[in-house]
Amino acid sequence: MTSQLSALALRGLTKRFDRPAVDALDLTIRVGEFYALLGPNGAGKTTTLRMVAGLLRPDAGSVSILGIDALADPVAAKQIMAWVSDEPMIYDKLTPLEYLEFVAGLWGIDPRTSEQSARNLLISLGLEPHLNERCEGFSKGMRQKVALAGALVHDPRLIILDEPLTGLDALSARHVKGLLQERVRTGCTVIMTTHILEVAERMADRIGVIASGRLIAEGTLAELRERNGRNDTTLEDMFIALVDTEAAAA
Amino acid sequence: MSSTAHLTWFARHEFRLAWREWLAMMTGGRRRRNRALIGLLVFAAILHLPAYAVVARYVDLRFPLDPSSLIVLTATIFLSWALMLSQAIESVTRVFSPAPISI
Repeated sequence: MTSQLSALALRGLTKRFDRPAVDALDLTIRVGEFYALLGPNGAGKTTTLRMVAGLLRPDAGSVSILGIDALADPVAAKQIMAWVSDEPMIYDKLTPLEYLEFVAGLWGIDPRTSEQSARNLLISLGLEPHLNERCEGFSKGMRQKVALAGALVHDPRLIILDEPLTGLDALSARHVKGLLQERVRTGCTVIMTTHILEVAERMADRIGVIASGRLIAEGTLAELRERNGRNDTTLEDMFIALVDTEAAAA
Repeated sequence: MSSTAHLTWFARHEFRLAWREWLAMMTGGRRRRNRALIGLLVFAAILHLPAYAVVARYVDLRFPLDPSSLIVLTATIFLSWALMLSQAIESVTRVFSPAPISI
C-alpha cells in the first residue's frame, strides 16, 4: 500500500559525536511500507532512529513524519509514532496489563477503551498466560513483547523498531513479526533495524543499507540484486559486498 | 482527563510502584508477604516505644503548633515529597529514555 505522502522524510540529517555518526542522510519511506534499515555496528542506524524518535537532536537537517516537521512540532510527531528500543525498559513491578494501562494513560486514552485494546495486543503477542504476572520475572523476549505492546497501545501510524528480534526465541519472533505485518496491512509504516538479514529479506518491502552514517544502497530485494548483477545472490552476500566496498573506499 | 484527574492518576501509579518496591524490599521478595508484612508492622509499632521514651521528654507538642514546629514539619514533608518526585522522575526516565550514546 503506497501513497504520495511519505511516512518519513529525512533531509541532510547530520549528527556528530566524536566523529560523524550520521552524515547528511537523505531518506524517504513511503506510507504503508515495511522498511528494513541495515548496517554494520556503528553505522549510524540507532542514532538516525533516535533522532527520528525525538530522543536526540540532530546537528543539521530535517525530519518530517507524515508531513509533520518533527523538529518544530515534536509532540505532534510523537503522537503518531512509536519507538521500540532494543533494550526493553518496562516497570518490573507492574503486570503487562498494568503497564499498558499506564502507557495508555500517558497518552490520555480512556481507560475503558484502553483496557480491551491492551488485552488484545498482549494476547496477540502470546502473553495471555502472563497478563497478571509482574514483569520482574519475565525473560528478555517477554519483556521485549511487553515493550512492543506498550509502544502500539496508542495506535501509531509509524512504528520504529531498533533490533526488535534480538534475543527472541522462534515463537516469540513469529508473534512479533505477525503483529508487525498485520499493522502494515492496515496501512501503518514499519521501520526496523536488524542484523538478522533473513528477516529483512523475507519481510521488508524495501531495504536500506547504511554505513558510516550514509545510505549506500536502497531498494527492493530484486532491485538490489539487479544492481549487484546477480539474481541468485542472498541479501547477506550483497550486504557484505556493499559494506566491504564502502570500507575500502573510506 | 483534567489536569487534577491526571495528577491523581499519576500519584496513584507512583504510590502503587512505591508500595510494591517497598514491600519487595522488606520481604526480600518472599511469597508469604502477608506474614512478613504483619511482622514488620508489629516490629515498627514496638520500635515506637523506645523512640517515645527517648524523644518524649524533649518534645512537648501542643496545638496550635508554634512556628518553629510548623517549619520543621513543613520542611520534613517537603523533603519527603522532593524525594518521591525525584524517584518518580528517575523511574520514568529509566523506562522511557535509554542511554543516548549508542550509535
